Parts: sequence; structure tokens; C-alpha cells
Amino acid sequence: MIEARNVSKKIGSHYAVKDASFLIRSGERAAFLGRSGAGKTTLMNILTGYTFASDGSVSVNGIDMLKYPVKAKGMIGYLPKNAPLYPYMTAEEYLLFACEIRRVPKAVRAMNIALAIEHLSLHNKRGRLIKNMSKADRQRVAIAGMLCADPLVLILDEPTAGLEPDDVAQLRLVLRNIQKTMVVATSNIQEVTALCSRVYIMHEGSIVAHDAIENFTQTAGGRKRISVRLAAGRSTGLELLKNIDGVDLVECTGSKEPGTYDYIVDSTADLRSDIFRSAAKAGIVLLGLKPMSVTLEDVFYQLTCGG
Amino acid sequence: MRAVYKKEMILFSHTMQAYLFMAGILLGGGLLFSYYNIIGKSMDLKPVWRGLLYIELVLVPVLTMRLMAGEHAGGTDLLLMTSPVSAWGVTMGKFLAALAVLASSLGLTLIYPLILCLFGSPSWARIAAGYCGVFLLGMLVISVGLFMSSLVKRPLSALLSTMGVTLFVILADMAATWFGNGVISTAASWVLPFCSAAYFTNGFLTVPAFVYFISITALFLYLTIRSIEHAKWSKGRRL
Repeated sequence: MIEARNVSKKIGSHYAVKDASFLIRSGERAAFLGRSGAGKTTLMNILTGYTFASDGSVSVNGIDMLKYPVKAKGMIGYLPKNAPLYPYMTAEEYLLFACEIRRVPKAVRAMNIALAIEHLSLHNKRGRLIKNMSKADRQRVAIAGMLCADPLVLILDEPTAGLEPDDVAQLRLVLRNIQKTMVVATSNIQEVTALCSRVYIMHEGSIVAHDAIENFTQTAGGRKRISVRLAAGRSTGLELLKNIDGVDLVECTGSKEPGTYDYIVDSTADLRSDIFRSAAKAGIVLLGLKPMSVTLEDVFYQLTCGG
Repeated sequence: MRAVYKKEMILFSHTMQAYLFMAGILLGGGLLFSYYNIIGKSMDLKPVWRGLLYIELVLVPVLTMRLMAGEHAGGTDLLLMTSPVSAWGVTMGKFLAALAVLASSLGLTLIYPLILCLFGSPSWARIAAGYCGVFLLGMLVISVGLFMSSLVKRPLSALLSTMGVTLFVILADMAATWFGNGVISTAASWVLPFCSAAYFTNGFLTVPAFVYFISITALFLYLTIRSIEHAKWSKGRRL
């Protein structure tokens, strides 16, 4: 549905987005999680055609954003950060404008607007000037404007930023019930787990990790991940660790110290004592043994803080 | 383009700019008409048209200040530029909306020649030429104002920069007349819009003057489109 290939955005000598590649399929709900300044908004601006990438390409349903921007943009509904709206329009005028500018056929405009108003509970506010609305209501109007054009893909940048907790919960419920391909840029981990099934972690302009959310988080079965450093050859270390009972997966992550190799061991039980005993029995020096956090939050902090 | 045009007309109807512009045109035109035509008992509307030319140079920047800069300031350029509408569509929609306000304002001043009809038989051909000149100059200044508005982030900056351009035009026109009929004056007549508008207000519909206004307007509309396109390749927002 949305594909980015080696997308980079250079501003001066600084890369706001560096070499981002991903494919978001139809029906998927993906989150781009990162701290402020990670490049999420810049990436969303590139995906929606507001700004063009310095390198790489973006396509929506196979249509290149650079070559056919009008056609590609017609398939996207975008909710920018802080939901900018026209303060001197009423909610209804704005929704009509949203339908017109997105070329919604006249025959279905009234129905789409009615459905959007119903969905976002804006019945009593359709005639109110946007500048007289609360932040939560303005956000609802912005989302309604996005929905009444019936786009194929929704892209939302910090959709609940600055809202009261009650409004956040209500809005998340509304967004969860929308059955469309969705891309959410956020720095809020709860938002990621509430709305999306896949997460791309961004740091300093690059996508540093991506996976389905359940692969990042601990499941009810309690998956464990242990980091091991052994003073032995790669194949020796791999064989030692794979032969330990209870080990599901062993991955060699390279060598950071001469004469040693680092491994990540996945299991459902805490195998630290088994690893220690096996290494000692085999006469291999164990230089590092540390449990790795497996919640999304911990992975996020590890990848973005280096800790 | 139609959606942008309609949106701008809604915003003009809900905000003060269009009303201020209309009030200025009607006040200025009304005062000039009262002085020269009612009190002065003249059938010639040339002083009114000449006065409206200067009023336009002052008031059109008020009309155009928000057109692009207001979008940047409010963040709504994100909505506009991520919609399936081209830079051409955005530019023409806004331009036509401002032009509609200008045409409506000038249309209200058509009551002046109608009043003159009560006292005599004014030449409608001359009246049409005069209004054409005023309208074309207004159209040119709108295109300049739209371009200046696309370059800056704040409506006030757009207002001041456009007024700077129009003030330069007024001063250049005044300076050109000081040089009599020399080379400088002749060169100025080719460049400055007042000189071309003078043909119309003197009752002459000349093709070169018409082409002048259309081509300069088209130039600034093109520059506006290029300005919008350029922004997409840079940060996407004005500094």
C-alpha cells in the first residue's frame, strides 16, 4: 500500500531522515515511534507529499509520489500534528471543503459527512466556528475531515498530543474502530500498543528496529532474552549455547572485543545459571551474562538512549 | 481549484479583510465622486478612476496578506499541500477569490455612472475602459501580493512587503513625471503599471496595455507557483 525505498531528507548538512525503507501493506496498522527530533514528522511529510525526499522514492498503491503527486495524495488522508484547521470556518463548512478538495463525488458527499459526524459525535457542533471549539473537538473535526473523503490510507502525526486523558481514551477508541490502513507517528508507547500491530523505531533519522509489536513485548508465556559474551570461537560458542536445554534461538551478534563473540539467547525460562555451568564445564570463559529487557519500552530506550 | 476558491470566499466572508477592502474602495471612491462629480458638477469619472488606482495600491495588500502567509502561519498549508490539488490549482483558486472581491467592490461603484445618467449621457464606452483599467491594475497588484505572500511566513510580513512594492511603484511613477518627456520617462511608461492604466482611464482600450497587464499578472502567478513548488524541495516551510 505505502512503500518507501531508501528515503532520505537532507537539510543543510544534516539528515532529518536517513535511508528509510519499509512496506506497509493494505490493512496494516504501523507506528513510527521515536523521540522528538527523530525524524517522524519529516518522514510523514514525505509520505504525504508535503515535502519531497532528497533521495529515494515513495509510492502509494504503486503510484510514485514524485511523478504523480496529485493521484498519490488522493489516496491518503493526513492528520498533521496539532490538527491545523481554518478557525473561521464552521465544522460543516470544513467537512464540505474536505470533500470538495478531495474530489468526493457530489452524490455521496452528504452521506460521507453525515457518517463522519456520527462517528466522531459532532452532531451538536456542526454549525460552530472551529475557533470556538475545544482542542479535543478540533481534533475530532480534523479526523472527520480526513474520514469523510474516504481515503485508502490514514496517516496521523501525534493524534492525541496535548489532549486530556479522557479525550485521549475516547479518540483512541474511535481510531481503533476505523478499519483502514493506518500509519501513526508518535512518541507515546501506549499509543503504539493501543492502535498498531507493527512498530518502526526511529532514532536520529534512521529506522533502527522494526517488527510486529508482539515480537518486541513479553507475552504471557514470558519470553526471556539473555546477552552472552564468550571468549571462544564463533562456532564453538554457538554449539555450546544451542546444546543447552530450553534454548529456543541463538544469534551471534558479532565481536566487540578481540577473542570474544557476543550472542543473544532466546528462551522461555531464565537460563543464566545453565549457561554459566555449561561454559564452566566446557572450559570456556564467560565474560558477559545479562538479561535483556523485552518490553517495547525497554527496547525503545535501549535503542534510542544506547543504554 | 474550485474547492480552494470556495474556501477562500468562505474565509473572506467570515473575516475582516474583504470588508475592509470594500469599505476602503467605497469610501475613497465615494469621496472622490462627491467632490469631483457632484460638487464639481463634472460628467468625467477620470479623477475617480485615478484615485481608485492609488487606493488599490494601498488596499490590495490587505486583501492578499493572508492568502499564502496565513496558511503558513496557521499550519494549514499542510492540509492544502497534502491534498490532491496542484500548486497551479491552489494559486489560481486564491487568485480568483481575491479577484472576485475586487470585482464585487468595483461593481458596487457602478452606482456612480448610474447617478451621472440622471444628469446627462455619460459615454459607456469610456466608463467601460476606465473600469477595465482599474480592474486590470487591481488584478496585477493581487498577483504581486499573492507572490509576496507565498515568500513569507506571516501575514504582516506579506502586507509590508507588498506595500513596499506598491509604494515603490507610486514613487517611481511620481519620479518618472519629474523627468518630463525624456528617455527615462519613456522607459518608465513601458514598465510602470500606472502609465498603462492611464490609457484606460483616458478612455482608450489599447491592446499593448492590455497585454502588459495580462503578461505581468501571469508572470507573478507563475512565480507564485514556482515558490510553492520550491518549498516542497526545501524544508517545506518558510523561514
